Amino acid sequence: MDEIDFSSPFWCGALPTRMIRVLSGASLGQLRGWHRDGIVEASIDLGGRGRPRLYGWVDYCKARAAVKLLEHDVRRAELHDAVKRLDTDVRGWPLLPLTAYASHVVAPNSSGAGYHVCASKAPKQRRVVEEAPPYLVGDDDCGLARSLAVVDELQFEGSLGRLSQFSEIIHINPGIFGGAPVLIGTRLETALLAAMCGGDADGAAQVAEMYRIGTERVEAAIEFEKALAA
Amino acid sequence: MLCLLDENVAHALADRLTELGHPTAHVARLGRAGSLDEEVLELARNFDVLITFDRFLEPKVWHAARQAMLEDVRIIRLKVTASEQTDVEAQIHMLQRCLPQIEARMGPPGDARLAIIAQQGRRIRFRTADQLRAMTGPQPQ
Repeated sequence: MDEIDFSSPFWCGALPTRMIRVLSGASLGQLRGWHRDGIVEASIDLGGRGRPRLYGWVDYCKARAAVKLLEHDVRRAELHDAVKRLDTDVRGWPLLPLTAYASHVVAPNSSGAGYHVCASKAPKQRRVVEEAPPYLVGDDDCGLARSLAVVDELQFEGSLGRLSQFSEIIHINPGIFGGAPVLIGTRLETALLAAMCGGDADGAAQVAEMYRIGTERVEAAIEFEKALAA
Repeated sequence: MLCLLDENVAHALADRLTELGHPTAHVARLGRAGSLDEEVLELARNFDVLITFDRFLEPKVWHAARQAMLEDVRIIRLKVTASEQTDVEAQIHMLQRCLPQIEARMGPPGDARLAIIAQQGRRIRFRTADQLRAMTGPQPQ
C-alpha cells in the first residue's frame, strides 16, 4: 500500500455505488457501463460479490459532471469520447468550470492559458484554443445564455447533488468517514443516526439526547436516508 | 487508561468509563465536533486509546490511521449492530468484558495497536505494530 500516492485527490473519499446513483442522478446501468468503459471508474474499490464498488471524491465529481453533460445536449456516444479526452488533456477537469454546448464540451486549461474543445464527432475538432470559443463569449443566440456551465451547477447544488434540499443540515466531506453523509458541524453519520432510530421518527428524541443534538437534525437524517434508499 | 471517544460514540459512555476509573474525553466535549478524521487521529496522540465506530473504509484514512498506530496511537474499534449502538449499557458491558485483555495487550508493555471488539465483546482481535506494518491492503472488515 505504501507505493500509492496518497496526496492524489483520487484517494480521497469512499462512496458506495448506491450513494453515487442517488446523488449524481446516474442509473445503476450507466454507472456500471461507465465503470466498465473507464469513463467513471470506482478507483477506491472495484467491488465484488456482496461488496459494493467504492468511488473516490473525484469519481463522484466526474459522475455528476457526466450526468449534467448528458442533460445538456451531449449525446451518450460523445460523452465517452469527451470524458476520455478531458482525462487525457485537462488535469483535474471535474473541478474546473466545464461548459457544454451542442456537441462541444469546453474546459479551460488547468494552467489558465486557453481552452480545450472536445467535439467527438469530428476528431479534428479536438483542439486547444487560446481564446474562449465564440459560443462562450458571444452575445448572439449562441452566447452565454445558451451555454451552460456544468460545474457551476454542481457547485450550486453543493456536495449532496440531487438531494441538495438537505444541504443546510447535512453534507459530505471526503475527510470525514470517507465521505459518508454527516450532520453539518459534527462527525455523526446520517446512516448511523437513522439505523439507531430504526428509521423511525419516534426514536429520534432518544438518539438526539444521546448525542446532545436537536431532534430535528436526527429527523432530517432519517428523511435523508429514506431519500437515499428510494 | 486515558480514553478519547470519537464523536459517533454516545456521550454517556464517557461518563460511565470515567466512573469505572478510566478518565475519558469526548471529541465533541473537547470542542472538536466536526473534525476531520486526520484531526481526530492527531488529537488521539494525547490519549492512551481512541474508541470509535469508524470502519476506516477509505484507503487514505486507513493509511493515516495505520501510520498513527505505528507511531504512538492505539485504537479500539467497536463493531456493533445498529441496535447495540443505542444501548450504552451494552457497550459498557462489552468494554468491561474486554478491558482487562485490552489493558494487558495495549497498555505500556503490550504490543497491540488496534483492537476490534465484536459480538458483544465475545470476540476481540488485536493487531500488533508488526502485523499492521505487514498489511498491504485495505483495513480488513
